[in-house]
Amino acid sequence: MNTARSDAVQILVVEDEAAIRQLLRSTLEAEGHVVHEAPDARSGRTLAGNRRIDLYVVDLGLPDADGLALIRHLRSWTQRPIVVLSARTEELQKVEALDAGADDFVTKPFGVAELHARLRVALRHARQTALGGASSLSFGNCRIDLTTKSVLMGGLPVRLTATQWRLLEVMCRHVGRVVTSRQLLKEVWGPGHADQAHYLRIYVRQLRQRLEADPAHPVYLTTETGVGYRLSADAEPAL
Amino acid sequence: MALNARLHLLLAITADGKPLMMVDSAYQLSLSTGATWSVVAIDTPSVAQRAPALRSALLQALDKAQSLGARVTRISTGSHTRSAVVSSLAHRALSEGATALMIGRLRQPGSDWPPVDQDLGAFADVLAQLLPGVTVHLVCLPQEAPDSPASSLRERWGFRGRRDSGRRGHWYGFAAGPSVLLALAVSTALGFALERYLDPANVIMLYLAGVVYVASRAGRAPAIATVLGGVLLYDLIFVHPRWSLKPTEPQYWLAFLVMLVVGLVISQLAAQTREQSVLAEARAQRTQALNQLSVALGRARDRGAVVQLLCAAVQSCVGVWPSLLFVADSRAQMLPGQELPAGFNPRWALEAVAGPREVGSGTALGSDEPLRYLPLVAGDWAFGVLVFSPPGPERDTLEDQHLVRALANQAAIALERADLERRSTAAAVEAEGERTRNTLLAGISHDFRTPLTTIVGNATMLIEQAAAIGEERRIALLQTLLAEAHRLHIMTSNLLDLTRLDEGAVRPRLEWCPADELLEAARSQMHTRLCHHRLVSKVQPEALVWCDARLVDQVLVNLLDNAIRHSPTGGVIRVAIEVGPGRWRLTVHDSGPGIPAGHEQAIFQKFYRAAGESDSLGKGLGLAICAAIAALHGGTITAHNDGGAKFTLTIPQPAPPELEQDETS
Repeated sequence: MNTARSDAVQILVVEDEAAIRQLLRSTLEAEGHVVHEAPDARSGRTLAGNRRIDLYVVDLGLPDADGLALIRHLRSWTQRPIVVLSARTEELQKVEALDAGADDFVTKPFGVAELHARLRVALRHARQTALGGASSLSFGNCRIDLTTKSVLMGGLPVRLTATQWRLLEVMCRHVGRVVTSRQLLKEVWGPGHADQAHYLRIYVRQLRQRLEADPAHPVYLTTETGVGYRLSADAEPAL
Repeated sequence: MALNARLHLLLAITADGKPLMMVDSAYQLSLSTGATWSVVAIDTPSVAQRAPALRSALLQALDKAQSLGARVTRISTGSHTRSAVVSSLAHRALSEGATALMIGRLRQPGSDWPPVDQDLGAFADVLAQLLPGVTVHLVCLPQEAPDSPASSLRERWGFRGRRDSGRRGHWYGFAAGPSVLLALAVSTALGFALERYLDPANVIMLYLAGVVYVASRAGRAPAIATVLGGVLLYDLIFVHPRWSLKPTEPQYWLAFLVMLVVGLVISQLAAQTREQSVLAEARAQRTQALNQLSVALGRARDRGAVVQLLCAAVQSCVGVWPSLLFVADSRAQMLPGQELPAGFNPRWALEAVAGPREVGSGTALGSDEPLRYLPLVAGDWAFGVLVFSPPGPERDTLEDQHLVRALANQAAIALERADLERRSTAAAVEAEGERTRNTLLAGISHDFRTPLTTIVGNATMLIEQAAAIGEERRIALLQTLLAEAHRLHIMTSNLLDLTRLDEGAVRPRLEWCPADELLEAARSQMHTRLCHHRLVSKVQPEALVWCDARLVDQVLVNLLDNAIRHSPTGGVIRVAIEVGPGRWRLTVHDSGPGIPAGHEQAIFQKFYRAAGESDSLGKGLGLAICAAIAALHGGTITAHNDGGAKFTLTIPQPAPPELEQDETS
């Protein structure tokens, strides 16, 4: 392996395709990370148990086991971020992986810029969780204070309904990451509403009308078709 | 039993009983009760001699009944005694499993039908007794106007009409006893009346006439009774001395003897004629059953229909519903909905197939078995067994057995034909699939090679000629490489998606989606490619549409891609979603040259390419994917020219959900 700095991020890549492993190693090492490789779920488990790993990159289609099973296994003992690599045909497994606790996904084929953006958000989120979470964040003209439950748009207060606020709060806690529709419905409306996606759609639109400069072309509260929603903040949130 | 589970109406008609009108009434009745129906035409000897016009009216009525869906049969009774007609009708009704019987009554003197016009009730009663559980409908036909065609017909064969009315008495002679007494009484009365003019030896002729009358319609035993009664009465009354059995002149003994012999011979001949006519009728019925089956089998297309027809035909000759088993590799198998008869033994079924020969009850092998097993043979190979419990001896004659075998053979041929047809259809489908696969592979290898050539070429150039390439050139090569890789990605994705859609691997997850969100998602994906065009979108705010968002997104992206490729730089692309009652509609309208005339449907086919267009495979699949997704939603996609090309996706949807309002915080 590498002779790496002790403060470098240790990343475990579980991917059966050698070419993609090589690509990931090259691009991640170029960013200064330390990369461990596992070609299958079994060796992935072993490595995860023996090394101090900061971030997991897991392919969903593994030869010996379902990537989903590996994610469930990892989530049973670690809160370290997991980013999923998925193919187009694995839409359903992708959502399941997110619901099982994966932090985000990157669809193959991917550009390296997109990959690094996803990894950065996942790492940052892990750091925030470790520090107790952010109390406020801002994007565009909007500033949200989670402790006082206030939203300012261009300095003016915005009135939100209770449901709108709960939805925004959940999105803020997962800022930068995709949140599945199922997860949002469960956290905002309760477990009984997990299949009433139209509620979610309506309220997301209402939020956009209040928080986006151009609600028809949202920039911050975006849709991940077939998966869920993502709230992107344009600045590092104040801690 | 399958046939008896439903209502079945049997209509009986004769040539002069207004057959067309009766067919119409029966059709109406069958429509209103939902019953199946069939028609039986009764041919009595007098009908056979009838005017051609009447017979053609009967044929016309039968044709009409057939065209209205009735099964048509004929009965020839060979005699018009009421008993013959009644028993033929009853037999037919039983064998067809009729639940209702319809006969007509014509208030017209001189007609054969109805068989009774004074005691119509008695006729119906007799039928009802013979057919418990069968409803008998009597239809009273209207009196004819004097100048109606049928009535003028009647006048044309006037003398026959009179003869017929004379014969009408035959319909009444149903019980043997009264007819014997009647014959004796009439003969005696005539004898008294003519005694003065006749020699006593000639009076005996009157009694002989009575014997002929009884023999012709009541059979051997009543005829013999009439002979004996006649001899006795003649001796007692007309032979001197009156009221004494002992004649004074011995020559009368000869007269008694002659009368006895002649009477016996007459009754014997009459009885033989009757038996022969019964046999002839049975023969005609068998031939008819066989003909009917072969006609019906000619129309049957699948195994289930053939099996049903065969079982119905066998039931009509042996009176029980048989079971049919298909045997392959020593395993018997039944079509769904059939059940095995009690006492079934698979050993005998296999034995019948192995022969192949008929085994079980009443045959050389396994005659103690309760059931009979008849193999179905096609060529020299048996593939099935017909199993049934044999009927009583009166319906299990050699002729009956022969008929069942003939029916089974017919059905076997039809089954073999159905099987061959099925296999040849499967082979054709297979061949078609093979052809599509070949087209696909040829298309793939051609269309994939182009971007791959560029990728391999550019990559090797960058590795091997790195020193000779300037920085600007290097970046250009890399960008081309990336673009070609993206092109390959789109092509593989499209191909994969279409395969999955075609195979039914994709199940739409339908839910309510905001229409504007669908448009926005597609727009943001096509953002970079849309920079040279103007996108104008129109959507009702707050509109919800019922769909799988991911699939409709794919339709939108493909339609936008198509619109971008066909619109000139700077051209306008209009996208709209409108929601109407019971459906919603997406339109994408470009500003290009439009669809070539006559290709409005062909463009949705796989690998469609317009003439002169050298598009890659991935593009040839985009619209086919749209069509597949539309179909998956139970909707449609169409294209027409309206300035540019205009594509319309229409998807049905239920009433939109009620949304609850929540409180402000």
